[in-house]
Amino acid sequence: MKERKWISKTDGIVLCALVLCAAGCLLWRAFAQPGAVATVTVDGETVLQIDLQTAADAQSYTLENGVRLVAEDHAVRFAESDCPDGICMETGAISKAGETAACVPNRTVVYITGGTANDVDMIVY
Amino acid sequence: MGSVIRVNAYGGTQDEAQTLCEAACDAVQALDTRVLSKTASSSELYRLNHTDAADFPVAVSSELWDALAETKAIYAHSGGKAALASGALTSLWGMDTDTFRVPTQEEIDAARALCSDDTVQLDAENSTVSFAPGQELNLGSTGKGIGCDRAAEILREAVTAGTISGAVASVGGSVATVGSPDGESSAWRVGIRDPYGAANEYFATLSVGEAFLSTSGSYEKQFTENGKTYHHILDLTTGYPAETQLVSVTILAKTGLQSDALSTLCFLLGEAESREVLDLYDAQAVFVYADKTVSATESIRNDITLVNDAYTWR
Repeated sequence: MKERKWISKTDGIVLCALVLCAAGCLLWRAFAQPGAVATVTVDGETVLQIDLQTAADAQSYTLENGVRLVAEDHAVRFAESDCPDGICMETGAISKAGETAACVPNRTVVYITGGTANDVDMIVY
Repeated sequence: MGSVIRVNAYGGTQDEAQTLCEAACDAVQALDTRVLSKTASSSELYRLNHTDAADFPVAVSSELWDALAETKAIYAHSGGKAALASGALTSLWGMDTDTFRVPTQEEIDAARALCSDDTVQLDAENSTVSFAPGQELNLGSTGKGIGCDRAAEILREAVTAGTISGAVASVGGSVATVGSPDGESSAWRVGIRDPYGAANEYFATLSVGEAFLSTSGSYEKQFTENGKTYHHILDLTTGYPAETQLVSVTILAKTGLQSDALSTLCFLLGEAESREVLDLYDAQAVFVYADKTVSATESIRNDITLVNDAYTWR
């Protein structure tokens, strides 16, 4: 009586992309570079990188698939997406190394590398 | 729709860790599409639900049989509030497909009549299943935990082999921790989601060794109809979302299946009624109430730090 359909077949590619990203960016905290960078991937391909260290004032980025991201206060969030569930927008702004936000229907993943690591290894929800 | 699977590996080389994380992810995904999914026509559970298992018992894989049997056994402690055969009611509310609606009382009464586990027979010797016509078995409330069990199995092998020092996996929010972050005795730090915050906000941190954790919260999968908000955790004795002062329950248990099933069960039972079953499974729990007060079973209380000032111990 929690989530019914927890993985649909079609989500596979984006999920794997996400895992790849997570694996890549969280291997060793020691690898972290100074200054956080948000990397945006669509279908596993990197389409955009945002330097969060310099992202103070709100800046909007619209991807080819119509998804709009906003970087502000050294954090990035999904601002607009035509996905039916809106889970990506509910995720809120992410700013710390290891944090991830995803829009599964649009196969879009944002993850943070560098800067200060989040002080938890995972969030249970 | 769908849940995010995330695996973070610690120690080892980047290449090895990446291959491992992919393998763990693929295995969890394969388990869902091949065995556990209620809605994917490729899964064994889907075929079982679409076969008339009433007239003659259907043989299933040991993987599916174990998942069904253990889910049923845990929900046997629910006093009828939860069941393996909850599918007729969850389908009716549109919870399997995210097409939520409030059914009529007649529809609810009819569906509730199909949700008893008394008519679900699991034969261990022949690995068969049978149930009454119209019944639907549902692993929706344990599937993510079973996914964690699968991921942990693969990650544990890698830790034993010395490929990595440890790893954390999340399957749609259910978490498994394996090994340790640095190969020594350091604990993992797991954040418990703030029921009133965004998805990446946590109100408390929990320090754990190797463990399986799951949370059931009324904040997930809510919908509003005619001004009333409904959450997704159904009480089968009423057919409606559970009426409770709890907003979330987090369980720390020996397996992912247990943590996932117990989080739903304890959310339905309430704190006092949960003690017995928690003892039985040697599981720990964190209860969060609507007034932002928190309580936890004795042995993990000292491992919990409330990091959001709005939350206080009860």
